[in-house]
Amino acid sequence: MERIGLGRFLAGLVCLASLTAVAWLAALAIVPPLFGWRTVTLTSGSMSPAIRVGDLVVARPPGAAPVKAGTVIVFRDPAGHGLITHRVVARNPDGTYLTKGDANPNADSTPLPARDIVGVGRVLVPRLGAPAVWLRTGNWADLVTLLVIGGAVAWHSRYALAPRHDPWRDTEDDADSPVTTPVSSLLARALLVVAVSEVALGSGALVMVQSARGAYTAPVSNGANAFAAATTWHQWYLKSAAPVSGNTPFLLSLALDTAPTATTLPSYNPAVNSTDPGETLVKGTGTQIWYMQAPAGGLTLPGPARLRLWTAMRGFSTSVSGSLTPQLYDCTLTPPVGCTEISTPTGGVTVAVAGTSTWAENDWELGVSTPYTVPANHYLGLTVSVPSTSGGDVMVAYDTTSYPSAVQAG
Amino acid sequence: MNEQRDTQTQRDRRRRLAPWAARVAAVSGSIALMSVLVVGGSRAAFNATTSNGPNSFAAGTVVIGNDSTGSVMFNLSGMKPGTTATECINVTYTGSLTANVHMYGTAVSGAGTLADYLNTTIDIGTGAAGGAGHSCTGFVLGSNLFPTATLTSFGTTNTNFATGLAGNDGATNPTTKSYRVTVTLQDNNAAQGKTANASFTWEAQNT
Repeated sequence: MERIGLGRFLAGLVCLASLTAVAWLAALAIVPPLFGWRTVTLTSGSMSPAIRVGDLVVARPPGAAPVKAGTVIVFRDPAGHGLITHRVVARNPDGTYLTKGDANPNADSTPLPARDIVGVGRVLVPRLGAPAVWLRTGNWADLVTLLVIGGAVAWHSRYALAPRHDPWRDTEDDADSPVTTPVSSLLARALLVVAVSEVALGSGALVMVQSARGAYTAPVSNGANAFAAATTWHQWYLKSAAPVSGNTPFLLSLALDTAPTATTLPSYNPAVNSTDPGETLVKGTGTQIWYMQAPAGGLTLPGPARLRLWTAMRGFSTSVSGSLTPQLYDCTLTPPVGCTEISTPTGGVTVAVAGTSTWAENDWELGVSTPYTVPANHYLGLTVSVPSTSGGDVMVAYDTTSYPSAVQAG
Repeated sequence: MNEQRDTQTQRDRRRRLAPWAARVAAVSGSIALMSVLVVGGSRAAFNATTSNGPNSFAAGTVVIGNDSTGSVMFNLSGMKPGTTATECINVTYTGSLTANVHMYGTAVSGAGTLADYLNTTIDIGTGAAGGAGHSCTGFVLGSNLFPTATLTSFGTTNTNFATGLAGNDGATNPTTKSYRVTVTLQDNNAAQGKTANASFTWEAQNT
């Protein structure tokens, strides 16, 4: 009889000790916040194994002194997603901090301003925040298990508190009075009430404890992209006749490296249609020639020549697409007299013009074997013509800041 | 009889005190043990100056990868005004935790380099063929992440996760997004002979 009583009492003591442990941990977590500290639950594991999911970090307010490397801090997420708990790796020269989750392969990419630090980790309360995390993640199985076990522990702790489970009680007294001493009974009940309410208070406070991510991060990079401009290039801009009163088919207007300054695009050939902006090249017959005279010493194309030309189908039609043929010449006299084609293949390459609702920029290779030098006093000539096989008339734009069409070489 | 009563009284007192001694021992022992554990655990967690390498834990993972198989998106030389290159890369999130994925530049050349003259546009979408050739075949535009501006501007405004380009928040396993990067050399002779470099980084961070 007495042995069974002692066993119960000891089991009750174990339960009481467990309750006390939880209550004490809860007190450690919820008392400091009353004094301006901050307790946070880790909701993800980037600080593992030092701090695991469900651990509570009790943090003191940050002081004025710089935080040392190695310190665990709680800070406002620079990306604006709540709080993060990570470790300071270094202090940057500009006063910001480099932080890192222990389990992350890389330091956090975002430098942390000192003003975003809300706490410096002082006390680690293990596991106590787990129920809050389970609640957050909907882990009902673990929550229910915990509640059942917790309830059983609380219930069985009465074996250590209620006088009738006291293994040392005088069984003979029971006959006279079921309660041994009123004082100890009252104390025991009070203790039980305190223990239970502390647990309730602790669980309630957990809901109020803020959560902080141990933000896992993972980067992936595409590195060492390299861009290099040609060492030199020439641009001969396609010019219009000035003043614009209808373009002539032959324009002395490939001007070396002089960008256009006009901001509005006029109608260059009102003879075809005064409402078309730029120049309309009628399919089968439309050709425009630009040329410039080579200076003394010749004019050298140092690299592959290309034509950058802004185009659209007539009326900005998107239902048809067309084509045009650009060609480059070396002419002994004013083009089209005495011209030898220098772009290959002879006859040029016909390129497609898309039907677009706005001007579209094209870049076409002119197929010049380089370097090619147009001798002094010869002319460099460019023709752009629309073949009869084109799906429609083609509009071209040039000599304006928005549409700086040009021949490029280099 | 008197002696017997004394013994009885002593026995009563022992009987009364014994359970209380046990209770106090259990409670204070428990508090002492927890205190020792907390102090030791706090010291271990908060005073470590070195951090552990990457670990895998049941707590969840954040995993991100791309399909470029190590080849760079852009390796352009001899660029001239109007030279345009468009490349696509697929970035896949496969972590178990819900995460936000942001894109930013690292080691982007700054002012005074060719980056000043490289107009850059970044779009997010789906379906690009990608791969080592960074093909944009099949790309379906979702939205524009970075309206056309210089590469210098991209590199100075998008430097880390917080300032990075969003567009793939709340990613779950698996989420693949195609990023289309278009670079065009401005029509400016001052760009002659200049060079620039850039690395593009996608970072996932759990929410």
